[in-house]
Amino acid sequence: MRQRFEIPMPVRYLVNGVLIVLLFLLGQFMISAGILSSYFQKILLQVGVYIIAAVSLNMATGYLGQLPLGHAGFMAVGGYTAGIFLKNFPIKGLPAFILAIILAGIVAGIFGILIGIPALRLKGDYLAIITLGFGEIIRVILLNIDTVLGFKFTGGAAGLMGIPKYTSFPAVYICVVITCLFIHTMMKSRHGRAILAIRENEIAAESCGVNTTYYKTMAFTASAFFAGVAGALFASYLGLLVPGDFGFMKSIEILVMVVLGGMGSMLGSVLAAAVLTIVPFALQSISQTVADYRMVIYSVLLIVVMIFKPSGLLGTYDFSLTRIIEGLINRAGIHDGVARKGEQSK
Amino acid sequence: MAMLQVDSINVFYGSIHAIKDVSFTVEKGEIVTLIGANGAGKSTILKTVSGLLRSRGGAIQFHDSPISAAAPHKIVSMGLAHVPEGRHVFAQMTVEENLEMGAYTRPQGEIAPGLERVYAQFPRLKERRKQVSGTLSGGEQQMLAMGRALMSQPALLMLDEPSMGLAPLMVEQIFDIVKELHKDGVTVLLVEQNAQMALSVADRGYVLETGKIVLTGNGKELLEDDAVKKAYLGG
Ligand SMILES: Nc1ncnc2c1ncn2[C@@H]1O[C@H](COP(=O)(O)OP(=O)(O)OP(=O)(O)O)[C@@H](O)[C@H]1O
Ligand SMILES: [Mg+2]
Repeated sequence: MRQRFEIPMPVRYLVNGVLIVLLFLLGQFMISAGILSSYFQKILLQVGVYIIAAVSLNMATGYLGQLPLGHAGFMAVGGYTAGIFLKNFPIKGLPAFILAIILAGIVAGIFGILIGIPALRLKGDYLAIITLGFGEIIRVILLNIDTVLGFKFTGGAAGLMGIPKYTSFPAVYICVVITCLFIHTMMKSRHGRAILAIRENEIAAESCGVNTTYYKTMAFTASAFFAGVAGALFASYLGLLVPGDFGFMKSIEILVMVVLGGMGSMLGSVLAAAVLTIVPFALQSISQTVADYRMVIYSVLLIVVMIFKPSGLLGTYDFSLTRIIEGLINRAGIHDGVARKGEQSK
Repeated sequence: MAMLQVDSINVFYGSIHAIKDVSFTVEKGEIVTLIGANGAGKSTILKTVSGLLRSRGGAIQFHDSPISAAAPHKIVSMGLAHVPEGRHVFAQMTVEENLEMGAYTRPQGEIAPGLERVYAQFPRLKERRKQVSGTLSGGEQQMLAMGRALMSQPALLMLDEPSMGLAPLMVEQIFDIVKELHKDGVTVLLVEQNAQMALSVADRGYVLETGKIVLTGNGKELLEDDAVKKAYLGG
């Protein structure tokens, strides 16, 4: 019988690993050789931050099937946590930065648990409403907490200034890879199957013995954790945070990335995040007024996609280089040779 | 002691007292049926046994261990499977993926033999194993929901109206399968509105009226009972 050729698992990891390293080296080379100006480097860093934000939101939206509207709120929690930590921690440099990122994720994750447990218990659209409220409450708290406390904590409307700027291309790149790898691995595991089963049919999932409360909370918390990481990178990239950075529209922007890319497709989220981060810059260089109307453009884009391809540009398709290679080999019929070689070596 | 022992459970929806002091037992190897009109509380009882709803007071014992406070997923892994009313399948997954999800509480190694067993019981599912389950017919979806529950290797299978909305021929098929499962040693708690069918396969039955058990007996007795005939068998 003619069998489909499949690349063995270790080779798969190797191919992906090599690809990740090559992409990193390419980026590093372009920066050190001066091919990417500092303007483009800035854009690149933002692209990374939004990739993490979108991929993490996709976890809650695409995989878990919920509709959180306060993702920017979790970014704010992470951003301010990292900012305040970096400003006050006695040790400076890389260790402090790594600690700040982890801490930002943890604090955002704790907020995720606190909101997720009550909100996910309720059926229907409560999660959307509760997270919407959460995002706005966080923003208002960040704005006013200094007056309440009576000392400088978040900097209020003027913003949190003087955050050490550590966010670099390698830092963002590594965080993007870790985020994607973590979520990918989780979704391929038993836990991932439980999460997808809940999205498909919660009653059936429960009757199969899936602990639905646990998995819903876990996926939502992981989503919040990585939003916090994105927030930390954002904080240390700008050096300055204002509560207005994390308003409702920001949450919607991230949601648009996920929906456009295709809910449940990690590659879709990555690509849409990249495109939708770059587009405003491109528009800005054409004219400021056009850039100001980008939300209008997004809305139209969203409507068009919903009409012509409701599942998003990539649907639930996930990119796999090894699968493409397999496909090519199988089509070319080379695989007979490869398979025979495999047998001989046994 | 009985495999499943339910002792005076009381279930409320808010202030509505849906189940009033209900007690019943299921012995190992039996088919027991709960029959009753719409809204009598049949589904509520099954949901309470499987941990989705809680009883106020009373006790539920399965294999001699109390389960009235256990979480639903714990109860599934103890060997009590519930096929809920209304054919809940994972619509975007294939038949086989659905069945694999059914073995979620079991070790990985049991999936392949489990599939083989279920495919032997449901040849129709085997034919359609690569089909996306949302596109199956109603009867096929019901078979899938039952097959999926069997993947967890249950000692007790609770079926909530497996014949609902199916054509007579399909209803017969479903009941034939129930009989076969029974022959293979699965204990069944069957909830039905189709009292005729249910009582003809059941060893014993309980008749439920507005949250109370009003009558009990073996299948034949109940089939010939005048009150039952009048209320559920159309004279
Ligand atoms: N979630 C709920 N909230 C309030 N009342 C409920 C709820 N679920 C069921 N009930 C009520 O509890 C009673 C029993 O319902 P249940 O679903 O157990 O009936 P049933 O015997 O399964 O009926 P059917 O044969 O129509 O499925 C009904 O009066 C119903 O209206
Ligand atoms: Mg019912």
